[in-house]
Amino acid sequence: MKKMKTFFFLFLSSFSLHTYAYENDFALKVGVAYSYTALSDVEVIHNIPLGFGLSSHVGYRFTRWETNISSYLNFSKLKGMEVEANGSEINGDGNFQSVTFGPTVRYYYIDHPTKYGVPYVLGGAQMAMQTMSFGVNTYINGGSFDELHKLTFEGYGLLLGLGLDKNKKDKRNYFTEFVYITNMSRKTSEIGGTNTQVELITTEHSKRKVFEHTFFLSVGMTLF
Amino acid sequence: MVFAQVDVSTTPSAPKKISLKRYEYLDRDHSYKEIRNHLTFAYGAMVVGYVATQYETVKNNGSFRNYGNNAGKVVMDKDNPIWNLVGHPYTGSQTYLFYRALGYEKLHAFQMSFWTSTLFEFSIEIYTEKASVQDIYQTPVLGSALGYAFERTSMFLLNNDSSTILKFFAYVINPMAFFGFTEVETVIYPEISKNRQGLHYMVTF
Repeated sequence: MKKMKTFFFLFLSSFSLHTYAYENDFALKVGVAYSYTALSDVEVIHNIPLGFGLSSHVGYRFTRWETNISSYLNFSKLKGMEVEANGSEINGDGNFQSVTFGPTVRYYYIDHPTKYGVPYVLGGAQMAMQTMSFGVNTYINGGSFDELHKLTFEGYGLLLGLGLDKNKKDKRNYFTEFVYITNMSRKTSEIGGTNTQVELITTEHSKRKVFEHTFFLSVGMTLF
Repeated sequence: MVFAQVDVSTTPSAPKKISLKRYEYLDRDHSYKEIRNHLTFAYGAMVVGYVATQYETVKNNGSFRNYGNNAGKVVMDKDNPIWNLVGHPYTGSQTYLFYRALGYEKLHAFQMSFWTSTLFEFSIEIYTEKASVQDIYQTPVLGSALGYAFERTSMFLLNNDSSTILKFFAYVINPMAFFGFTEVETVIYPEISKNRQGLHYMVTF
């Protein structure tokens, strides 16, 4: 029954074209997003409250395939975060920011615009960086980490997603997508300095890998 | 570069007049020489802006030794988000609007913005630090998106009977609107008589 509904939806969608599609052309897309992130190391999972984000894609659309360089930005608050870095065990609240860049590929189920949008799947590889800054009520045990400094994790990851895109460049050129991103940290750095000039205090290979799992629900539009 | 028709007034005895008073970028093709000159100007403006706003950084951290070491390397920078998500996109937006005001269509303005900021990143900023992924991507991409919003907003304000304050605001967010046009009404109409044939071209300030 479910398969029949899906088939019926796609069948109807394929007949509702009344505008031109863009293909074999470059496009820039930007969206805003709700995000949910969980950070984990081997032992603990930290859920980060809902945040907001930005997604952007610039790339080339063939008929059904589309290649992009994509970026996902994510901002959230940290609550009771426990993390280990630079020999210190850090426990506290603060701010969390994540940014990813990388190539993504989309495959559209239908090669022309439809009333409700064309379903697509996407996947890709990402390089990522997470930044944590802590408040004054942060408990630090051992090591030399300064609570006023920031902590960054750099690594690589993958993303998978699905969405609906109007496939148009004129009016009502919206898209919506749901994306799962996962990254693994390879390098941990402590960052000091001022707002205008950052200073790299230490950087080391992550002894305890930090995994980021982020779910993005993004709504945006093809600008041109 | 600006013009699109708004009203056409005709009377049986008068020649057809075309009044042009709508603010709108008119996309056109550019010659290689124009592209080179526009790119050079935008790049030069970025260099001047960089030195003016980050003089201390250039003075304290810049060296030709850094230049050699940083050449060709790309890293994820750890700059404050204010720089990466506000400063660079804003710079990118003005670069995008600069090209739009010079008649580049949206996609070409984005491409030119990309080449300008990438050239800057790999030839100037490496004097003080390595080129960064965030700057290379976010300056033209988020900058063009922001520029697109600025352009739409400023054109809406200029083309509707907005107050002086709102028109001023339109120029604040899109100062590149000063390039190529000011607020004028242009009227063109033909004259064909026994002694004279031609077009009247009147500009009212």
